[in-house]
Amino acid sequence: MPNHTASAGQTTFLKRLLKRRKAVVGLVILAVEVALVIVLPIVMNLDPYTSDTAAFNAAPSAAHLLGTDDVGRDIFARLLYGGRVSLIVGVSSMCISIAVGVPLGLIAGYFRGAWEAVIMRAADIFMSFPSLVLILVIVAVFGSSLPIIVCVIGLLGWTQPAKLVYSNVLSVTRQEYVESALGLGLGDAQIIFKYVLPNVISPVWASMAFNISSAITTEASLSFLGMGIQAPEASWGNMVNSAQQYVTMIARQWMWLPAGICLVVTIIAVNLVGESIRDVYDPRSM
Amino acid sequence: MGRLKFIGKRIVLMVPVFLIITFVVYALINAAPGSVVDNIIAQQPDITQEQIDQIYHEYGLDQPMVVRYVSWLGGLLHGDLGTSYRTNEGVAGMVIERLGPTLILTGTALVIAVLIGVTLGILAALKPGGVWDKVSSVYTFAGTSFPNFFMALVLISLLSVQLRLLPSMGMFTSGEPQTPAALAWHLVLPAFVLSFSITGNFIKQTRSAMLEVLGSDFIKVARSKGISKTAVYLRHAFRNALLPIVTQIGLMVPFLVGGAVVMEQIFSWPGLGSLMNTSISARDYPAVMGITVVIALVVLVANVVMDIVYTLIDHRIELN
Repeated sequence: MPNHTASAGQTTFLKRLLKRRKAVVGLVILAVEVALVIVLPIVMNLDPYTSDTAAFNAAPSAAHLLGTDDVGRDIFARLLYGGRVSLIVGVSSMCISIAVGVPLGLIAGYFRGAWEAVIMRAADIFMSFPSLVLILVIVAVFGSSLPIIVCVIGLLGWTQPAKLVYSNVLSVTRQEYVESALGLGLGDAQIIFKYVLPNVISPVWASMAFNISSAITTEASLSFLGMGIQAPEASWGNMVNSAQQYVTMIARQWMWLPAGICLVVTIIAVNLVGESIRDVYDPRSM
Repeated sequence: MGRLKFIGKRIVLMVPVFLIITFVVYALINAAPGSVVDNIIAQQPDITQEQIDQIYHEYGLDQPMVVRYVSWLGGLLHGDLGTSYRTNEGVAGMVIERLGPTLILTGTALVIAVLIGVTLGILAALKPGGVWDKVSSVYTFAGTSFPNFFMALVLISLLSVQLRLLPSMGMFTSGEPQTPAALAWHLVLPAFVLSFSITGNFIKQTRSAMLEVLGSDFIKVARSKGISKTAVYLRHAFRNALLPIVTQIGLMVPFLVGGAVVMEQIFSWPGLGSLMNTSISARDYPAVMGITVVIALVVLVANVVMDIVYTLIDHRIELN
């Protein structure tokens, strides 16, 4: 069903989405998390960088809610700052992937010919090589600051949205209303923005959520390997890294378990929202 | 004959892909600020310009990047991947030694993923909305939501450290005989964790392919002829569900290799992934390049093999 009036479609979409318990649970978790990582560090005056020289490897206490790490930094503060990193990486990388992937998919599907050949062949090549390996090389060469990590993960994430949009454009341009628009002699830009884009974009919403969760996972894996966010900056990935030491894994679980659990909860929340969006748009996939 | 032609065409198509992948990584590495030469020069404060030029020449760094790439390719054709900056050994020998363990790990993970995925997918398709369908969704969802490194650490701390059930280090226990059984025992944890995130894809593919086939006319005819349910499902429906599963295997190989980089680090698995981590930390670019070549070859060969399997299955269906 083509929907030409996007705003009306979106209100009913939101209503249908919020009727799903999965979506509500995911959105509530994410909202609470965003609020916590923004507000708590300010309200509680938390410092994730300074060492408490009186408390190395300290267990949770009133002074340090979740204890301290091996150089006396407050784990609770680092958890919240790590949450900021995960959310920033997830959302910004996704924006880059969409900003690159959607136009490329549109061009390949609408203009076909050489565009199609080059863009879709490039997508196949990107998908045939493990992106984590490529990211490791790029980060080793250009450094592992937060902006670089966001850009690399974002740019390498273009294939999924591009393929999705491409295959949808192919089926939409065969529809009568697009063919008649072509017959009326409307310009390409007009047809793309008025008739094609609004009707191929809905599957992209669900893929945006999955794009966020995979970007968060990739950053965490990278930081876990010691190639991503570097100490003293905090990331859930580099916090979990401390568990590679036997003593930490067994006797100082406050150093890595909370970070890993936050990671899992965040990814679950994002995926719940993603699945709900997909179910609303495409009930067949349930 | 047509099939051989098709396979030959697929192999020829892989050549440009291989060249593009290796060229991109080669160009990236050459964009790195500071080369191995800078380190050598920094260690000798009273070095002359002449000596600096000499060192650049020795490492081939006085040539333009494209020229160096071509001569690197030439070396590759003779099985020469250069010398590691870190160990001063030949890179070719290093990476070939590490290939076996990585193939064992990723191959086992793939087999586990296919076995669990196909089984759960079939069970889920037999009764949509039933218990097995729910188990399948939960398994798929958990697989995509647990980062493999965190899951590995949790399982190690529970199963290896506290319960002492499974080993968590390397392919064999040092000082014990290196039997296949010992290897299998060491594979359980890393291969299972590696399989976990991709199993969902096989569940989904199998389930939807089975549902599609089960709804088609020829299954209804077979059922009406009185052929038993199990026979229909396994002999007719599953055979037709094989194609999407084979396609999925090809798509999952890059994910497995990427995941192996993380798993090998955690489980001290002596494969390409752990060598990649060490080489990148040490800025050992010839080694990084060598690993890239082998990984590219592995994924491309896997693609061709899957194409061949695909045509074989397709052929059988035509004969039926």
